[in-house]
Amino acid sequence: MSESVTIASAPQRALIARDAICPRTRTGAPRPLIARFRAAAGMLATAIIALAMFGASPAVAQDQVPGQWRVAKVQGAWTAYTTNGSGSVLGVSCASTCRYYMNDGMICDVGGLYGVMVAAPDPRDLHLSCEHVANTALLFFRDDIGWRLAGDFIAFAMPIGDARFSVFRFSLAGAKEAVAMAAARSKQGAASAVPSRSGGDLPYGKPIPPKCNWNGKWPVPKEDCIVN
Amino acid sequence: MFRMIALIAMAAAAGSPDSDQAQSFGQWRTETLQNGTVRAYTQNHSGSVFGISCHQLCRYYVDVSMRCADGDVYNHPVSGDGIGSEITLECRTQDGSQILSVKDDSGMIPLLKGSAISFAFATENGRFSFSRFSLTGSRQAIAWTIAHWKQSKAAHDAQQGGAKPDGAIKDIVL
Repeated sequence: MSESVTIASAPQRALIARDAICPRTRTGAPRPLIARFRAAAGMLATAIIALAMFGASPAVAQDQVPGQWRVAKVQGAWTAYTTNGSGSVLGVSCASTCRYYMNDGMICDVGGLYGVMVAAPDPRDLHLSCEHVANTALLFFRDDIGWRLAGDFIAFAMPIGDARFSVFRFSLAGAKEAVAMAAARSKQGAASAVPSRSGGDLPYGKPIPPKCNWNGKWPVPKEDCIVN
Repeated sequence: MFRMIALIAMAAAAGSPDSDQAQSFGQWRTETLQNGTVRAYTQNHSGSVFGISCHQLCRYYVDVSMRCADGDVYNHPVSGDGIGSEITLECRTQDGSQILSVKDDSGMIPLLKGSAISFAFATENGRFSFSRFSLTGSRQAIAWTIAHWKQSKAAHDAQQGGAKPDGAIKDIVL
């Protein structure tokens, strides 16, 4: 049964898109070896700083599970999530029920319905609805995608207008364990040991960008703010 | 000998366009086949085709050389200028090859107002392929195709003794 899907305000979404527009952009030529060393050194330095800052914090230490997924409590909901290299987030938020969501860093219209194609297994079009939660624009899947969290990764393609698509790719390493943990802890309720999170990384992904001021340069670069 | 040559020529002409009716509009081309089908289409650099084919009725179609089972239905995201949408495609065999025919034209109309249109297809290895087509000249080509098809159909119906038009035939708003 087909349902008409409107991609609401696509140009606005495209304005602040950070993920690659097409696969070719994402899968460019391999980086030179020196660049890889630099990147590795940068990540190592970041990790050392993060350990120094948060190493003793139970909120960070206890919400990690093996793989690329993490578990955290946000506004009363246990959340399992992963962040890809572009900063997009795929997660599941468990309160009374568990709902899968995605945040690609783009604004969406509350209540708007969006279409996204998921790749194998069983490629098909999925529908997402937009909600603004904790100053983030989340796209909640209307279908249960839990059974799809098998394999190494999951990929989505979303039309963003201008005859282009955004492609989102997320690691599934540790996904099942993290989702099971979030679901279990939401059932346990307040008995959990991990406190609510504030700050640090963002289980719900990038916050809704602020509106641009008169010259579009403050408080954030022009490409990161919404022009009305 | 002449009979054999004539037979070969007839066989070759059966599914080929009538060159008198072939026209170009920007990146689009129109043609009339011997079987009465009138179509407008564009072909991208990968050889994929997007167009509209009018026979009993007019249907948009995509030919991306994708293997599919006749009658299977797929929902696909489509991206146009400033708009994205979802359309339903049906696998059909046409002229010996499999094409994806758009089931509901209404979803296509807003997408045809820009300069290009893209279709996403999931591949078996968990990746996507995208087929992008120019819409330059599409409005004129599609309008010409529909008008020409209507003329041909009216003439054909008159020859058949004023047969009433098929109830499924409908206009396409551009």
